[in-house]
Amino acid sequence: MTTADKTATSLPQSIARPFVWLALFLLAILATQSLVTSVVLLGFVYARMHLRITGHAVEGLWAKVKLGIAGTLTLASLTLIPGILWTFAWQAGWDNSFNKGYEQATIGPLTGVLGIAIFLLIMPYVQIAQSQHAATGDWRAFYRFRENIKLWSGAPISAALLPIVYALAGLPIFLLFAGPTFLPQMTSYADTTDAEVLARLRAWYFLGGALFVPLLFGVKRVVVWVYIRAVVARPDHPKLRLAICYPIVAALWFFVVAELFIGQFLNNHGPLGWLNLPLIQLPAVNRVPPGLVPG
Amino acid sequence: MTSRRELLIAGALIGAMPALAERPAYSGPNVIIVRFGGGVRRRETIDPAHTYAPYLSKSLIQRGTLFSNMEVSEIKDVTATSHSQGTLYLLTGRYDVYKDIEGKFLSERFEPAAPTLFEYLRKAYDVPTHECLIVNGEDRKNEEYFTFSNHDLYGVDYRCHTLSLARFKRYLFTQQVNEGKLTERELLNTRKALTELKLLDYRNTEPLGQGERLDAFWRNWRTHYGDSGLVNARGDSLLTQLAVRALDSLTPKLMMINYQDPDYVHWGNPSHYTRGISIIDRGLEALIDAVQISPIYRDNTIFVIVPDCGRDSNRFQRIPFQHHFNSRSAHEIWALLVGPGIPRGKAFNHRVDQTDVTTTIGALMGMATSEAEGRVLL
Repeated sequence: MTTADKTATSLPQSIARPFVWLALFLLAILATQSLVTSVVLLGFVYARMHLRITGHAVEGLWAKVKLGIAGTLTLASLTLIPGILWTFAWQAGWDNSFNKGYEQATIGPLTGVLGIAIFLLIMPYVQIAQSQHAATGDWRAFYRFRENIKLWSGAPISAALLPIVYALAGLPIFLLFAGPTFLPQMTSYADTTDAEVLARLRAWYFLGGALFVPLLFGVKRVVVWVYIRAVVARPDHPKLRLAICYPIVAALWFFVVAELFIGQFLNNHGPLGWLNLPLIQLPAVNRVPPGLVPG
Repeated sequence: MTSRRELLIAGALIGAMPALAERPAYSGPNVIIVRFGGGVRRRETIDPAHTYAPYLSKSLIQRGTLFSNMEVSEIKDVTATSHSQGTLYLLTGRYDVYKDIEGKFLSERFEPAAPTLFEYLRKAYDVPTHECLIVNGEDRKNEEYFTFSNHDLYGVDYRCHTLSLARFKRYLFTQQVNEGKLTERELLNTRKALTELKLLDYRNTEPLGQGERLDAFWRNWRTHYGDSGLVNARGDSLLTQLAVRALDSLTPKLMMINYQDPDYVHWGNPSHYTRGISIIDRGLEALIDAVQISPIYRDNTIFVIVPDCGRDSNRFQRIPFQHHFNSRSAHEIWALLVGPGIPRGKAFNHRVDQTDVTTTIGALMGMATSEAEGRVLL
C-alpha cells in the first residue's frame, strides 16, 4: 500500500486521494529544486521501483531517505567518472584551445572522448544495477557485476529501448536547461531588476520540475519493465548475446551524450551540468545561477 | 612619326585603365582599424569601473573621441549581431543582408556587394595592394571575402591583402615543396595542406602567389620564427605581432586588425572573454607604441577602434555574455577615434550607427564612399 493510499483510507478515497497525490506531486516538484532534497526524491523513485518489481511498498520516510542516500552514492560511484572527465575536458580543453597550445591539443578532446566511452560502457549496466538495488533494497546488489551483466543479457533488445527513452525524455529537460539562453528574446526583461529576474527563473525551474517529475517516474517505469523482462528471461547463449548486443546498446546512449554537450554549449551550467544528469543521477533541475542574488 | 594605328592602340589601352592613369598618390593620414572583436560589451571595455581593458578605457580614451552609444541598428531580418556581418558593416558602411554561400558550420562565407574601404581607397588613390592590409586570426581562415566585393565598378582589382597564419603557411608550404628537402611522406602531406589553403582563395585572386612584397614579408617572418609555428605569438597576440611587423616592412596606408578571441566564451569559460579583452588591450598598447616610434606613422596615423558586435547581457544564464544572439545588448557597441585631427578627451553619448564608421574613415582619408549609408561622425 502506498503512502497516498494509507493517508487516504481515513477519508473517503474518491475525495482524499487526488488531494494527497497533488500534495505529493507538489512536494516532489519542490524536491527537484535542490540537490539535497533531490536525494529524498531519489529515495521515493527507488521505493516506487521496488513496489513495481516486488509488489511490496517501502514503509516509512526514513527508509526511503536511506534508499535515496544509498542510490546517490552507488550511482555516483560510476557515473561521476565520465562527469569528472567531461568537466576537465571541456574546461581545460577549451582553455588550451584559447591559448593555442598546439603541443597538447589532443589532451582535451581525448579526455572528453574517454569520458564518453566510459559513459557508453557503463550506462547499460547502471540501469540493471539500479533496478537490482531498488528490487533488493541492498546497495551491494549494485556491485554484483557478474550477476547483473548476466541478467542484462536476458533482455538486450528491451534494454536498447532505454537510451531512446532517456533521450526522448531528456529533450524537455534539454529545453528547460537551454531555454534561459533565449528567454530574453521571449520576454520583456531588459529593464527588470535582479530580483524580478530571479523570481522568473525560479518559476521557470519550478514549472520545469512539474514537467520533470512525471518524466522521471515514467522513465524509471520503463527501466523496471526492462528489468522484469530480464529477470524472467532464460536466454540461450547469454555470453554471445552480451558480446553482440551490449556494444550496440551502449552506442545508443550517445544520443544522451549529444543532448548534454549541445545543451552545455547553449547554456553552460558549469561543472554541475557535467556531473549531474537529472534523469540518471540526482533528480534536481534548479539551475538558477549562483551569482544571481536579490538586488 | 607615330602611326594612326599605334595611336589608336595606345588610346584604347589608356581608355581601358582610366583609373590607373588618373589616380593620385595618397598623402592623407594612415588609418588603423582595430576590430575589438569577437563581440564585446561596453561594460568590460569602455566602462572604467568594470573594464578589462584599462589602457583603452583609462588612457587611450583621454587621447581621442569616444562614441559610447554606437549601435548595430536593429533592422528586422537584416542586421545580424555576428562577427562577419559586423565586419562587413564596418567595411562597406551598409547594413546589407548576407547569405552564407559556404554552408559549413562555423565556417560561413559571404560576398559583399558593396565596395569595401580598401576598394574605395585604391580606386581613389594609387595605393598598392600590399599597403592595404587585413590581419586575420587563425581560427577564421574562411574570411578572405573581406578583401574585396562583387561590385562591378570595384572588385578584385582594388582588393587588399591578408596577413594571417594561413597566409604564412601558404607561403611556407610552397617554399618547402620547392626546396625539395622533404621526405616523400612529408611532401605528400605538405602538398595536400597547400591545396587546402589555396582553396581558401576560392575566387582565385592570386594564381601567381601573394606577390613580391608579401613574399619578402613572410621570408623575414620565417627567418625570425622558423617553420614550426610554435615560436611566434599565438591567438590574438599573433595579430598584434603581424600588425607591428607590417607597419615596419609593408607600411600600410589602411590596415584592419580583426581581433577575435573574446568570442571563445561561447564555449562557456568566462575567463576567455575577460582575458581576451585584456590581450587586445595590450595589443592596442603595442600598436600605439609602434606607431609612436615610427617616423612614417608618428603624428600621421588615426586609430579607429570599434567592436564588430556586442554580446548578450542575459541574467538568466550563469554566463550572461556567453553568446550574442541578437539581443539588445548584442547591438550595443562603441567607437574610439584617436589621432591627428581628432578631438582629444571628448565623449559623445548620443546614438550613432556602426555604419557611420565607414563614412567617417572615408572623410578622414579624403575618399568618397558612395555606397555607404552612414554619416560622418566628426
